[in-house]
Formats: sequence, C-alpha cells, structure tokens
Amino acid sequence: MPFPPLLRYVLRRLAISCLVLLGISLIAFSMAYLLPSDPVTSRYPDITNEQRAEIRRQMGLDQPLPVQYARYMASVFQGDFGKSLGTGNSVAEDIRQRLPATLELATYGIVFGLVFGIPLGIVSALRRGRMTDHLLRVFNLGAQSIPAFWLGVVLIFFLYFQWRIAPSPIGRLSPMFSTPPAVTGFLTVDGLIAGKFDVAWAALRQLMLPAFVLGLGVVSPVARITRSAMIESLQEDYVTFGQALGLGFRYVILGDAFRGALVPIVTTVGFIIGNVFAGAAIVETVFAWPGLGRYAVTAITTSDMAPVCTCILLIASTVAITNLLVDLSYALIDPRIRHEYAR
Amino acid sequence: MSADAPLFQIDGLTIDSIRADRRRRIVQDVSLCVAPGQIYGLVGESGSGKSVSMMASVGLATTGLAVQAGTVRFGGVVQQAVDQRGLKQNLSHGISLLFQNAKGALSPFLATGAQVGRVLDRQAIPRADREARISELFRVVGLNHADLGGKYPHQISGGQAQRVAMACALATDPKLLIADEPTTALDVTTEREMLRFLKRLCEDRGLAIILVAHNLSLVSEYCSGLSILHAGQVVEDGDLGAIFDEPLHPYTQGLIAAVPDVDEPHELIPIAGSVWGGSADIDRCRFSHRCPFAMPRCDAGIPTGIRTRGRNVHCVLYDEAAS
Repeated sequence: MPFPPLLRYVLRRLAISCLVLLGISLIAFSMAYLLPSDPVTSRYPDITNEQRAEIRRQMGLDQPLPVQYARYMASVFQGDFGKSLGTGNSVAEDIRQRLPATLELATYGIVFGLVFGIPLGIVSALRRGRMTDHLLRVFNLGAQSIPAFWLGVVLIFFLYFQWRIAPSPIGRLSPMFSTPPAVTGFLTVDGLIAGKFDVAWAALRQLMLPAFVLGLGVVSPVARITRSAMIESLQEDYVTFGQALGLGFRYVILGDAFRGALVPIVTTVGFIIGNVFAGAAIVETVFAWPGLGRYAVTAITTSDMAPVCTCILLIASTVAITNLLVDLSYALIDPRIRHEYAR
Repeated sequence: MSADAPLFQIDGLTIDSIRADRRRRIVQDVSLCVAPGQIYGLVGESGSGKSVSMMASVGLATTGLAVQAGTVRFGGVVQQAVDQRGLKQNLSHGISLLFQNAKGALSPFLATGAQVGRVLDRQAIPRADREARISELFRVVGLNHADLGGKYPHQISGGQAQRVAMACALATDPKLLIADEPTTALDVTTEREMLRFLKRLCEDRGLAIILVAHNLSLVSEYCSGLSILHAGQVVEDGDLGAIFDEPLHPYTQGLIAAVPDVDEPHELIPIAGSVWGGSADIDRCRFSHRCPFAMPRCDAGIPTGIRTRGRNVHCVLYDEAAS
C-alpha cells in the first residue's frame, strides 16, 4: 500500500471535504443569483435600460447560470474571488486585511471559553448534586441566556461610558498607537515581537470586552458537555481502580477521567468554533471591530455578492477543516480509536 | 501471627442507599475478620451487599450510599467507616483491590507497562530501578514485560488484563488484596489458573486475600474462612470446614444443598423466594420470608454473637439464651 493507513484516512477525508465545499459553493452562488436585487441597479441607480443591459453584458450577467458558475469557479481556483462593489478592492485583498482581526478575536474568545468552561464543568461533575454544582449550573444558564449584542452594549455603557475602566470600543487599536509590523497578524503577538509592549497591552485591552462577550457564549456549552461527559467517565471502572491503587487526583481525575471525557468535549468544541465565527459578526458590529463578520454583514445588506459568496466559502472551509481536525484528534486522545483508524 | 491479631477487621458496618429520597438499608451490621496470610471468602447472591461492603471498607463508597456506622481496623489502627476519606488512606498503604472487569479497570489510555509504572511512581522507587521493578512485577504475574508492556488494554485478553491489574495491585506492596469477583469475567480454565495463582501469592508473600464471590463451591476450594451474606446481613461466618461439614443457618443449608457434587450426586434443592428488598428501618431477619423454620421471633431482629461449633450463626434457632 502506498500510504500508511492514517494518511489514507486523512486524504479520503480531505477529498470528501472538497466535494462538500464544491456543493456549498454551488448553493452560495445560486443564492446570489436568485436574489431579487440587481447588483447593476444598486450600483448605478440612474442609468437607462440600454446602459444597464450593456453593463450586464460586460459583467457576464446575461449568461445562463451554469456558465456564470463555471466562470466564477474558474476564477476562484486562480485565487480571484471577484471584486467587492462596496470597497472597490478585490475580495481577496479585503479578506487578507480583515481575517487577522477576526482570527485574533475568535482565538481569544475560544481560549477564554475553554479556560473557564472546562474547569467549571469538571468542578460541577465532581461536586455533582451539591451546592457548588447547582450554582455553577445556574451561572451557565444565565451566561447562555444573555444575548451577545445586549451584553456588549451594557458592558460598553458601564465599563467605558460610566466607569472608564475599558478603552473606547473603536476597533483593534486606538489611533494613538501605530500598528506593529505584521508577522502573525495578531496585534497582541506582533506588538510583543516588535518589542512594543505598550502596543501589545493596548491591543489586549481593546480585545478584552469583545473576547469576553464572544467567549461567554462558549463557556456554557463547553461547561455543560464537560460536566456530563465527566459524570459519565467518572463512573468508569478504570477511575475506581485508579483510586483503589491510591493514584492521586492528577492521574485519576485529570489523567484518566478527563481524557475519557475528551472525545465528546472536542466534538462539541468543533461545532462551537463554527458558531463563534458566525457570532463574531454581531460582536464585531457592536465593538466596531474591523473583521470579517462586519465585512460580511455590510456585503449582505448592500447585495455585494462576491464578498458574501467568499465569506460563505471561507466559513464552510473552516468548519470542514475543524471537523477533520476533530476527527483526527480522536486518534490522539484514545488509542482504541487510533488502532481502529489504522486498520 | 496468631488468630487473635487480625490484619483486617470490619465491625458493625451499616450502609444506606439513598435514591430519589428513598432510603434503604442495604448493608446491616456486617462484620468480618481476616488474619494475616489468610484467604477469606465473602459469599452472597447478587445484590446481597458484598461488593458494597468491601468498597465502603476501603473508602470507595459511591455517591448515593451513606455509611451509617461501623469501624474498620487495619494494621492495628481503628477508623470509623463514616470517614470514607480517612479509610482511603489505606489504599496503596497495605490494601489493594481487584475487580471483575479487568479490561475496564485498566486505563484505556496507557500501555500496560506504563500503568504499572505509574503505580510504582507513588512508592518513590529510584528511577534506575523502575524498569527492573516493572519487569519483575510482570514476571510475578506470569507475563512478559517485553511482549506486553507496550500494549494497550484493548489489545490483550481478559486473563492477561486481570494479570496486569494484579501487577498494578502488587506494585503497591499490599498486605491485603480484596478481590471482587476477580474471575467472573474469565473462562473456566483461566479462572482456576487465576485462583491457584492467588493462592500461591498468598503463600509466597504472606498476602491476605478477601475473595468476594457468588460461587460457593469455588470459594470453598481456596478459602479457610468464610462469611455468608444475605440481603445485607451476615447469616453465618467462621471456619470454612466447620460451616461446610455442618451448615447451621437455614440459608447456608439451602446454599450447600444447591451445590452439585460429582462424587455423591444428590438432588439440587433451590432456595425458595428471592432476596429481600425491604426498607431501611426493618431490623428483622431478612431471610425469614424464605425460611422454612420462620417463627414470630424472627421479626424482632437477628441475634448476634452466637458462637457455636466453630462459627458464628446469626439465627434465633441457635439462640439458646432466649429459648
């Protein structure tokens, strides 16, 4: 056999992902095509019908759908995602500018969600049915019930307008600072790399509120799945036997029981990551964050279809890749699954 | 050591189960006494409370169980059974356990050698000796470390898994091994092999073993002492030979009448009825509803400390003081 089994599995999964993405591109493109709004009219409202027909011919909009789709995909494969009517730039350029902002925000939000959600779930499971567990569950329910746009606005009102604890919500970095040279695209990291600690700190302060709001939506689902998966794995015989051998908390609870709970946790986190990118649109709008979410929202409201299609493809690719990574992580977590894959 | 210096002694262990605000006494006033180097049998039907008593006696009572009373004496130290956290200290300091489901008892995430190794790490073994000690433990339980040390539990057989579990248990250098139905999941030939091996361990290392089982005839081959549990109560306990030669409690008589004998075939007589499922506050004899000798006094409670003909029997039939 030319490839080792695990690699074969990855290649097969990648091939399937590509098919899925192709299907999504077709749906996204058809949606754009079927929408009642006409990009030519919304761009040039005061032109005659002849002029409009001429522009449509030049843009290829008079061709049938399959031809338009084929042309679109051909250019996508060459890295040309079309032009945004709103910004006047190529979509690829627009995304290159905005993706780091969203990635940085989402990363901090997810990390915040995991750092709080997982320990909360573990403590809840260990103290199951006691006061601590009940309090944590009420907190989770509350955290999940608060809409992000409302929480964002309330936090800005109190922490910025009233108490001046938080910086003003004007995006990634206050104009008082110059952006450090881009290495990772993460301002907090780039600031540290450039040795400009004040810039990194200022960027971190800008991030705190939006990342908190975005991360709070991650905390509860993660805590909930951690709790239920831990309750289940704590009843496994290997946990009892580990305790019977006098092995401590680190081995029995964090080593075995948590690892036993990790497969459902990772699966849920995989789903959540897709949601976070969708939720970022709201948070970015509230905090004037110059990211992809706001770009997509603006594009949708102005019928700017090239960016919309690209954003859909981008989010779909993220979800597909995340799912693949989640599946592969099972093999790392559990040797039983590893040997199953290797067959 | 003499018989009057027991290694492990449970006294008056009483446990309630609390499920959905319903309290049930599942273990009532259970006592047993194991001498150093002795193989002691704990026999009872499923649900008679044998595993629960054993787990509670080492501080591993599960949630939903409330230990009400009792003391546990190990190595000269007496501890209250209510203090489960305190009892846990005995684990890895002289007491080890084996379970029925050995494959499930081993961590699925570690190779078998590493599992034995991490138990050794708790004993402050010098780094240089560690590998040698692991190999030695594998050899003691009849396995080859070089062959099996790198394999995961799902890659080995049930018998091998039970041996690895035993290596883990022995790594704590125990004085007492509580084996909770250690062979139930194994096939008959492996079962014999395993029990012979336990017996040898007992002889070689002076290890005491509590063998928890539902198979009376199996226990009778290996143990010298025996407790018979029914519905959370000890019905008869003491010297195995004495009990087998002349069972006194009606339940024991029924159990032994139900053991097939190849040399002297006799009709097997099943015990009528099923295990008692009463509520918490009933002190009555829980066998009386199945007992052919039941009398009104059975409902008043069971007598304790009737010592006669080499064993204790907990039945009013032998309560001469009262009759």
